[in-house]
Amino acid sequence: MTRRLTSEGVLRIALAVVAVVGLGVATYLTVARFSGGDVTCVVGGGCETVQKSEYSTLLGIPVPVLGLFGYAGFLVAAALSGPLGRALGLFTAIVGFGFSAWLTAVEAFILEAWCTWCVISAILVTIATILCIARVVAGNRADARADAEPGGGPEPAPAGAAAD
Amino acid sequence: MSTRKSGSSNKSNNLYYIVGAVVAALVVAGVLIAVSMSGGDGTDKVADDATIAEVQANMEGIPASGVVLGEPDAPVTITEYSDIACIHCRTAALQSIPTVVTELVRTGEAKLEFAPTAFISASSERGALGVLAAADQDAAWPFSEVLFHMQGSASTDWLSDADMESVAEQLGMDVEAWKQAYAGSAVEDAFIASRDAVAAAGVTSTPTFIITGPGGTERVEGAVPAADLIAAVEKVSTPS
Repeated sequence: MTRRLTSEGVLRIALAVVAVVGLGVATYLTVARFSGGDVTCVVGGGCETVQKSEYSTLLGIPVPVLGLFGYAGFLVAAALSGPLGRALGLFTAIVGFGFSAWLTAVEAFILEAWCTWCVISAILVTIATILCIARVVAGNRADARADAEPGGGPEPAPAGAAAD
Repeated sequence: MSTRKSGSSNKSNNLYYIVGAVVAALVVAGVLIAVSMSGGDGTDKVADDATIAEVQANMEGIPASGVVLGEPDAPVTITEYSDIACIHCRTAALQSIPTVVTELVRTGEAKLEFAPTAFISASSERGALGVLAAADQDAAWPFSEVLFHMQGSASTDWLSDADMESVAEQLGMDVEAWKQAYAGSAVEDAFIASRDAVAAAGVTSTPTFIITGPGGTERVEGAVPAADLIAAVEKVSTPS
């Protein structure tokens, strides 16, 4: 039981950290967007091209706002234990990674301009995706071990045991 | 027995959660990407007031005549061969042209000439004709700049006549006069002449800037930084 808590627990904490950093990046881009200010491009100068391109909104919603929802989803998934938390994390990861990959392809092949913040966000989403997949694997293995233990099924849950 | 049964049920539940999450996520991701790929952001292509104000402030008070912006006797002419639907022309319009206007055109060192061409989509030709119609009111440059701000996906026909009427109105132009010019044969002839000039200049990609001055001619291709254009103007501004 201790091992199960450790492996999945560490992954959840790591996911929460990535989500908080991602929320910071998405918040910065959202504030810059709504304040009408320019985004400070740490490397290169493609931020304005990317931010002002038509790909920077989806159905009228600025992409950084979608990013806020995505990282909030990761944070909630990290806070939730058990299958629901794993499933929410996996859902957010697949949507986030897929859309992020598309936007990276847009930067590389259509706009031919790179926004440093978008690249950082893409890296964060990739890390979060790896963590979410690892969490599903670790959680399922832990569940299988618990089920195999004599009398060690999850129902009824022992009082005080963290069903991680 | 009871434990084995509940363990098996737990496994099934986990599987349902995971499969459900994966399927739902693939559907949502697919829809998001498809909407983004379509180039449609669900809104009409109307320039916002901030864009109009930014473009007008950049060019305000600078003499303009037809497709030329700047002092008529400016020693250097920067001719930009451009397609309204070309994404690199948009990059140049948003990132380099405003600085060129401030640093070179406003100071009288150079003048800008717009030479529209069309090779991407129907929006290219529509935009070229729209800019040439705006040139009748000496508003070709602000008109083209606003169109670049509004630019849609190269894979879509994003620019309509109604969009351009809105731009003419927002820029304070005579909309009826613009509509008449846009539909007239003079603008079509000017477009054919512009396209011929593009071919004659050997332009194979846009944007291409041909910079002519007393010191000769420089050719700059692509969405280069304003500094490159400024350097090219300096190179040709004095007789060699």
